[in-house]
Amino acid sequence: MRRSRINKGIGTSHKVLFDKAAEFSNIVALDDKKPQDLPLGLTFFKVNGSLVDKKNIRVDKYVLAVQCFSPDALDITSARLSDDRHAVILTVAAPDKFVQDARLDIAHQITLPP
Amino acid sequence: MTAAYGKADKLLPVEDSDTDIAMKEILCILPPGVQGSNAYFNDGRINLNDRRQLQAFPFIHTEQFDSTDLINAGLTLYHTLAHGPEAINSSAQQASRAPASVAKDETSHRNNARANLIDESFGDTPLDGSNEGDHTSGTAAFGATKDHWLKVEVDIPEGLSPEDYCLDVLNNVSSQRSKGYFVCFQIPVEGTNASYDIITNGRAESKSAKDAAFAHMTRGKRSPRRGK
Repeated sequence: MRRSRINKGIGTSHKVLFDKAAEFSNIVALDDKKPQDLPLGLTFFKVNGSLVDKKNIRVDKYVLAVQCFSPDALDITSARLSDDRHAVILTVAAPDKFVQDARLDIAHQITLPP
Repeated sequence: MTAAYGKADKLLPVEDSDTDIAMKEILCILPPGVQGSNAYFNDGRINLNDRRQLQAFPFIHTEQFDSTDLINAGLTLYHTLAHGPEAINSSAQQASRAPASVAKDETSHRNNARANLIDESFGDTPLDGSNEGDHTSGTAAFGATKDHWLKVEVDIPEGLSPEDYCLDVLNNVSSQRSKGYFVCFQIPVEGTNASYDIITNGRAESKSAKDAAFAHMTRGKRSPRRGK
């Protein structure tokens, strides 16, 4: 009984949370069957039949690929598991800093030729 | 939705960093039934500068911008080598006059404009070419800077400036999944009490195939043991 309560994790069932994720801009539901539903810059897929550890870890593992547009953004992108281990919390640079601001700068550099 | 997850949408300072870059947290919920393992997340924070962790979280460095994307948008891509601000200016003027090899029809354009193209080193290489940078291919050897220039060769809609048009194109090209840098996070699934054979990927697949074939062959047949 206690184990089942722990597995519910964050106070609601994981399935409900997964289904409701689409309503929030900062929460995405990773689905290896419908990866195209993810926002731009995020790719999620499952690696079948791959084993990486000799411990008792099943490594038909999932990979989350995060797209960024600058080497500077790479260094400060990080990820960690949530306490209930049902979610990955990505910490990424705000897109305005590395994407939109830089593109705006470049666009403003355009000058008509003489 | 609990408060713990609801407050994820906020800007955060970067820990252990001199920068004041705004950070954002995105919560990625694993599929139902999948529970992540901390085997690769260690203390909860990944240091991407750590070589050992880089092996666990490999970068996938994809190709640079494909000029085809730009040509389709009516932008012609030029490459120039410059050694300083003056060289850049003269190269740009050359580029605006001379037809490029990728240009389709020089007479069709109405709007000539030029711009630095965002490439993998964008935001990293100043126009004076003084920054050698730590990027991989944006800077040519011997202090020369490889610059990319764009010429608008398409009828820009009324009321839209060349700047706005280029920005739209850059936004579109940059948003493609095949471009840019990728960081990959492996998410091992928590194990069970069952033991797993530790074999390489190819062998695991062939073993699975062999097991499936054997199960198919023996389907519906009585086990020799049961007969005894």
